[in-house]
Amino acid sequence: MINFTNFSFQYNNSPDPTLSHINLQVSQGEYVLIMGPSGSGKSTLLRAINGLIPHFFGGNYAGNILVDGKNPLRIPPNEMAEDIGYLFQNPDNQLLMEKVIAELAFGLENLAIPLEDIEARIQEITQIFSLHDLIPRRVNELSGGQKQTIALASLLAMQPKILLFDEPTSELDPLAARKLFANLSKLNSTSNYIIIIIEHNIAEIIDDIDRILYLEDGKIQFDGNPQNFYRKYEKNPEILKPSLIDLSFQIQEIEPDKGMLNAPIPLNQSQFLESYSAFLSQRTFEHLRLPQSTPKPIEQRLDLPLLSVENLYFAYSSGSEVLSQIYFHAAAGEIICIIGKNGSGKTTLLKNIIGLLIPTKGNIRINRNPKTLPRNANDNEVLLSQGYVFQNPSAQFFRDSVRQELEYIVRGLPLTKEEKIDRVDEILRFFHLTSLQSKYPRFISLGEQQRLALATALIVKPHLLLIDEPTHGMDAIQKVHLLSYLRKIQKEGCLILIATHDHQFASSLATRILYLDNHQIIFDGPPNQVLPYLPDFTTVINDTMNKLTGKTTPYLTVAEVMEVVNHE
Amino acid sequence: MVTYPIEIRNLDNFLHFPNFHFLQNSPVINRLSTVPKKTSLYSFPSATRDAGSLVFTFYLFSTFLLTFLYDHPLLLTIILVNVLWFAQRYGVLPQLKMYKSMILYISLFLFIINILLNPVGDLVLWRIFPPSRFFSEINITIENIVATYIGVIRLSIVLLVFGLFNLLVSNDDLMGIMLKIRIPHKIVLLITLSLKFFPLLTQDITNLQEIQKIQQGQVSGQSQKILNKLRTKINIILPLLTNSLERSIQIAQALEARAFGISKKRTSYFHYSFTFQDYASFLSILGASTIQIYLWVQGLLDFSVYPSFSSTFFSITDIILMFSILVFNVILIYIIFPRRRKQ
Repeated sequence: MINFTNFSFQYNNSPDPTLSHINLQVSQGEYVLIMGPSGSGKSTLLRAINGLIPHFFGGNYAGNILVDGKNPLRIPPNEMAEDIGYLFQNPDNQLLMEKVIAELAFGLENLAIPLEDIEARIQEITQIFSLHDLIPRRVNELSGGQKQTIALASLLAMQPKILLFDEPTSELDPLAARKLFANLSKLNSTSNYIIIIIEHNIAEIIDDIDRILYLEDGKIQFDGNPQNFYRKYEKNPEILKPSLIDLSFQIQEIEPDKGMLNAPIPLNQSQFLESYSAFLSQRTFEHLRLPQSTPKPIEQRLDLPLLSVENLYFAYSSGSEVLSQIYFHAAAGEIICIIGKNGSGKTTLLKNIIGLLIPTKGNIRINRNPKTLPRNANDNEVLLSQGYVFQNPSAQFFRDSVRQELEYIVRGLPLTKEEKIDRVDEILRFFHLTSLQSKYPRFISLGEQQRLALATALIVKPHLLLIDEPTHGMDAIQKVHLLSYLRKIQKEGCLILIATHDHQFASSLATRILYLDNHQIIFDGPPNQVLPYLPDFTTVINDTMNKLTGKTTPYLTVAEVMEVVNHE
Repeated sequence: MVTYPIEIRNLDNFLHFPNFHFLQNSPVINRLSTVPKKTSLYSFPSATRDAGSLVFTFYLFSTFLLTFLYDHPLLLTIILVNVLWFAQRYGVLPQLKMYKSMILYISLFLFIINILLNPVGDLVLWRIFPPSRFFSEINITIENIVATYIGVIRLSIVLLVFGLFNLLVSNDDLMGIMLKIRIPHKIVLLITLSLKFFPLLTQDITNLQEIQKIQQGQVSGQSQKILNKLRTKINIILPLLTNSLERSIQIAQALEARAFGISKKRTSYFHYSFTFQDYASFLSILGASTIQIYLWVQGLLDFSVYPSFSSTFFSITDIILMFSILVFNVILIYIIFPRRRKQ
C-alpha cells in the first residue's frame, strides 16, 4: 500500500538531508509506530506520505514514493486526502469551523460528497464516537480531548485508507489520551486501516502496534516488531523503555539464572504477570512500607510555610467558578505537582498564585513577603520572589538571542554590572546553554527552549517557581533531563509548583501531589499515597503491583519495586 | 524521614463524580459496515440556517468602509455611537470593554506621533522646550489634537467592528451563505479564515501580555515608566507575528489534509434561507452606503486637518446630513435589522 524506494529529502535552506535513502513498505492493516530522537525525520516521513512534502514544504528529493498506486510527489496533499487522514499535534490549529457539526461536514463538502451521504456519514461517525452531546456545540467550548476526538472523527468521516498521527496526545490529559488510543486500537482491529503514528507515550500503545520504525539522522535504523526492538536496544540508555519492559530487564539482570531470560518481552500487563508474577510473589510486599527511593522534600518546615493558600475562590467574569475552597501550605524544598484532568483549574491556580488572576475570595501569603490579597502581577516585590514558566516556552521569548533574554531580566536587579554578567554566565552554565547563547531562542530545540524558560525564571533567584505543563511535547529523554534540572533547583531550596497532566513525570519527581477536580483539591499528599487511589492517574507499575498483590500498593516506579526486590 | 499524612478532602464529592470509576469505558466503536448507510436528519439540529450572519457582515463592512471615506470628526463620532448602539442592541456591549485599554494606548501613541511628525497648525496650545539645543521646540496645536481625535475614533471603530464581527457573525454560516451566492470558495475560505485569526490574535496578545507582566515584575521598577511600558508593547509585535505565521502554516496544512480546494465541485451540507427582513436590510444598507459614497464623491462632509482646518464643524448642510445618517442608523438597527443573534 505504501512503498518508499530509496527516498531522500532535503528541506530548502537545510544543510543536510532530513531523510536519507528510505526504503519502506507498509501493508494494509498495519499499525506502525515511528520512533527516534528529535530532528531524526519522523514528521518529515509522515509528510512525505501525504504529499505535504514536497508540495507544502519545499525542498529537493530523490527516489520514489507510491501510496495506493498514487505518487504523492506528483499529486498535491489535498487530493491525497481522499485516501489519507492526517491528525496533527495541536487540535486548535486543525479545527477550521466554529461548530462541531460544520467541522464534521467540512472535509466531506470538499470531497463533493452528496448531501444525503454527508448526513449518513455524520450520523455514522457520531454513533462510532458517541458524539451526540458534542454535535450542537461550538468547537471552542470543547476540552482538548474532545477537540482531538472531533478532529479524528472528521478525518474518519472522509473514509480514508491510511491514518497518519503526529503526536496526537501531546495536548491531552491521561484519560483523554487513553480514550484516543483505545479508539485507534479498535479501529485497527475492526477495520483495515493503515495507522502510522509518532507518539512519545509509548507504553500506552506498545501492545497494539505491529511494527516499530526507529529513525536516526534521517535513516531507518530499525524496522521490526516491538520485542525485537527492545531486545536490540536493551542496553542503550538513550532509548527509554516502557516501565514494564524496564522492570523485566532489571529483574532479569539480578536473577539471570531463574529461567526468565527466555521470557518474552512483556508488552502488556498480563504478559508481564504471566512471566514475572511467580518471581515477584516470592518477595514480601505485604508490609507495603513506603519506599526509600521516593522523592523527598529538601527541608521539612511545614510549620514555616513559604506559601499559604487559604480558602481561595476564583471565578471568571462570565461567572463560571474554576476554583473553590482551595487550601494548602507549602514549604521551601518541596516539589508539588498539581494534577487533574484538562480544564480542572491547574493553570488557573498557578495564575492566582503569581497574581496574573485576582482571586474572587481568599488569601495567598508568601512567607518572605507577608503581603496578602488583593495584589496583582504589577506588584514587583511579590514577583521578584517568584518565577513562572508558561506552557509553551517559545511564547515567552521576545529578544534576539538566548543571552539577551537573560540580560533583559537581570538588568533590573540591584546588582553591579559585573555581578549581572556573572549571574547570566552562571545561569547559562547551570542549564548548559553557554554554547547556545548567541542563538535565536525560537530556533533552538524544545528541550533547550524549556531550559531557557527555566533560566529566565530562575535568574532572579526566586523562592517560588511555578511551572505550567513542563513536559508538553517532550520525549522521554528530554523529560529525564528536565527532571534532573528540577531536582537541582529543588536542592537550592526553591519551592516548585508544577501544573501537569503527566502523571508518570509527577510520580518520579513530586514530593507531594495536589489532585484537583470539580474546582477543589480532592487529594493532598505524597505521590505514593495519592496516585494509587486515582486509577486514571496512577502508573502502570502501580496498577500491576496492585493486581499482583491484590492490595493498593504504594509502589509507583521501577526503582521503588526494585528497592523491595533487592531488599529481599 | 518525615512523611506527609495523606489528606483526603471532599470524599463524598469524589465518590459521586462519574469520571473516577476505574477505566471508564471508552467510546464503543462498531464496525463501520454495521451502521446503516442512510438515515434521516431526525436526531440532528436543524440544518437550515438564516442569512443573519451575512446581514451583519454587510453592515459592519459598510461601516468599516465609511470610516475610511470620511475624516469629519463629528461624523466619525456619530459612526462610533452607531456602532455602540448596535452592540447594545445585540447585548454584546460588555464584551467590548476589553478593547478599552488597547484604545487608550493607541491614543497615546497617535498623539505622540502627531506631535513629532506633524508639528504644524495655526493655533498653538502648548510649547515644549527641549532640554538640549540640538532639538527644536515642539508645538502642540489644536490641529494635533483634532488629528489625534480622528485617528483614535477611526481606530476605535475598526477595533469594535472586528470585535462585533467575532461576537455576532458565525464564520460557518458566513462561509455557507457566500458559497450559496456563488462567491468562489477559495475567496470565501480566505475571508473566513483570515477573520478566524482575529480572536486567536487577541488570545495571543493576552498570553504575551501575561508573560510581559511577569517579566516586568522581574525587571524591578521598570514597569512604572510609561516609555518602558510602550517599549514593552512594541516588543510583542515580533513574537505575535511569529506565532501568527506558525499558526497560519498549521492551519494551511490542516486545510490540505481535509481536501480543501480539490478540483471537484464542493457540496454544502447546510441549507440557507433568506427572509423578507434580510432582503430589506441588504437593500437599506446598500442604499445608505451608495448615498454616502455619492456625498463623499461630491465633496460634502469633507474635512481636512493639516495645514489648517478646511471647513467649519457646523455648516447647516453638514449637520443635516449627519443627523440624517444618525436617524437612518437608528431605524436600521432598531427596526429593520433581524433580531437574531449568532446561532
